[in-house]
Amino acid sequence: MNVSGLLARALRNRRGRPWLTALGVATCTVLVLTLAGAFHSVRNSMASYAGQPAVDLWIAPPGSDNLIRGSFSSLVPLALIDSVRSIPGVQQVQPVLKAFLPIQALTDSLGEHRYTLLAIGYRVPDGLGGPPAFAAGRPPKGRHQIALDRAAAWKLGVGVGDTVVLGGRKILVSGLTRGTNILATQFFFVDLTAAAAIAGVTDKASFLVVRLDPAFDPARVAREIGDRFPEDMVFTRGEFLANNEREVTAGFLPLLTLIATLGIAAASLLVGLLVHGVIEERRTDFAMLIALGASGRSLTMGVLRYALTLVSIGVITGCGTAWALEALLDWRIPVIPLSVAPRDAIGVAVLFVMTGLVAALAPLISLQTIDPLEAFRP
Amino acid sequence: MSTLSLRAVRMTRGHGRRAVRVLEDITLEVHPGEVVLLEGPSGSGKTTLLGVAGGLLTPDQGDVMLAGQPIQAVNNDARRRIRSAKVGFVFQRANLLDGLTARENVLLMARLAGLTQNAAELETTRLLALLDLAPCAGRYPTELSGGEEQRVAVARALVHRPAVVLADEPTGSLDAEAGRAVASSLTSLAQEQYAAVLICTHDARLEPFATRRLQLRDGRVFDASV
Repeated sequence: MNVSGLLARALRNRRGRPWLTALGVATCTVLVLTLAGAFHSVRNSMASYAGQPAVDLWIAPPGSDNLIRGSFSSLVPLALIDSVRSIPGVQQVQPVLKAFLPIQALTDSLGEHRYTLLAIGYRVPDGLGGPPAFAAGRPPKGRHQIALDRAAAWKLGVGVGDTVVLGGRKILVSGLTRGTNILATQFFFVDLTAAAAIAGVTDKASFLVVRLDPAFDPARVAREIGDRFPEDMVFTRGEFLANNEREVTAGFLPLLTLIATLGIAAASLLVGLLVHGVIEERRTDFAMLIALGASGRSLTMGVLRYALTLVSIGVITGCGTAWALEALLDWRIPVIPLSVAPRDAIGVAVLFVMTGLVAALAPLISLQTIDPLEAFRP
Repeated sequence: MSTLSLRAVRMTRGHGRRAVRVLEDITLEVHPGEVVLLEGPSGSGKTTLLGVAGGLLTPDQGDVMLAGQPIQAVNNDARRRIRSAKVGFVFQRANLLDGLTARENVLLMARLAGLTQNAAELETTRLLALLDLAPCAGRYPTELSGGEEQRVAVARALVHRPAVVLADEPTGSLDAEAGRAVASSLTSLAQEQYAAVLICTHDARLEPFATRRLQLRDGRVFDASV
């Protein structure tokens, strides 16, 4: 082992403080990765539905360019479907109705667990704009069936085969969907006519979703539809997805950035405090090492190596815990979706190591003030 | 030729109205293989003298030669290198590093002095065996007795075969038997290595091991052998 390695080992404290510091760094890592994981999960869910490959174009009424916000009163007339279908390159055109509707379990007679969720009405069972993926069960087959996001089902305490109440009607849960939880709300999928009846909408839809012949350029067809129907808006899949991502992350991202920054600052502070504590507590050891001829560089490297070891232990523990938490939440509490990406873990590791080292540098300055004669004090 | 030489050394500690002249025209020489005891009451400047002799303090006046090198004439980095290569320190408290085993404490000094890993390992093993510390080599300082700790400190001071060994009350915190064992080990091994040994102490038990005794009083050194 080289000198800085021996010095780093020499600084090990057999009491609990270094482990507490590593645990603190691990906690901060979990915090930052959880926030990033929640952010990615929301984006992934949005991509899963709004970016589904079966839909090439989204036709929306004025003032409604995404699924979350926008005018609920402005709708697209269903009569438009035949006109759009006549445009070259268009293979399929189908309506989708979105509405926030209250839903509760049949067994919940007091309505204690009634939730207002994002209803997507589509042409069941295989129409465009339906559920992107299933965790269990199958798509609804008629007006009296529903496919529900699995987190929403967990909140309601229902599963496949149970009955929920929607708009005063009893509806059977035919399936549980995945990729349909955007944290603030969850999706459920019902027959278009049922959704329209509950929402009080007639012969209109929130969007028309279009599937194109693969030989046609979506942007070109979108321009053509836009030219033909200038009162409506036409978005390619990518544009519509970007609109939705903007809406779901606009409020979330600044808060996430702030909390993540605080987490990183807390971890840096912990490392800085630990290094400061080590230097103050071990003044005699440092004085002795200086007397014995240890160079300032080797002492600095030893301290930095020690700090780096603790940060690394903390980050690795934190990453492992974050992944375990992701699996645990998915299994037991699916209402909190996490998607901890390896690139986030790498980014957090690099960031924490860098900030930890920077935090360790400040207390290292106090090394210069240690008088080697302190080693002679009894 | 002496290994450690101080000539007309003057040293003041503190600043302004708090300045105190600690060493006054100190001249002393310690030759290879010699064990010099420097006795004196608390506050007489023994530790300051060791600091000056070991290149940890720069005297206000005078010359200090360590293994033939004038240490006040070189910069801090060169002085540090001279110290790590040519000087061995034994402190009143063993001052072993808690996070390292006895063996690693000795090994660290050898590496600081510039010995290669192999040479450091060999010399550490040899010294620990000579000091009857082989069974304790893997133990941490908290698992050692006071006497064992101080013998590890002796091994640390000698592992790089220094030209000069400077010891500050090396038996001060030990009982009679452990103190004798440490004094015997330190002086015999240092003499075997032909090192010049300067020991500051109050401990009369060390006198039989000394080749010469000096007294430090009022910042001046007197020969106490006569």
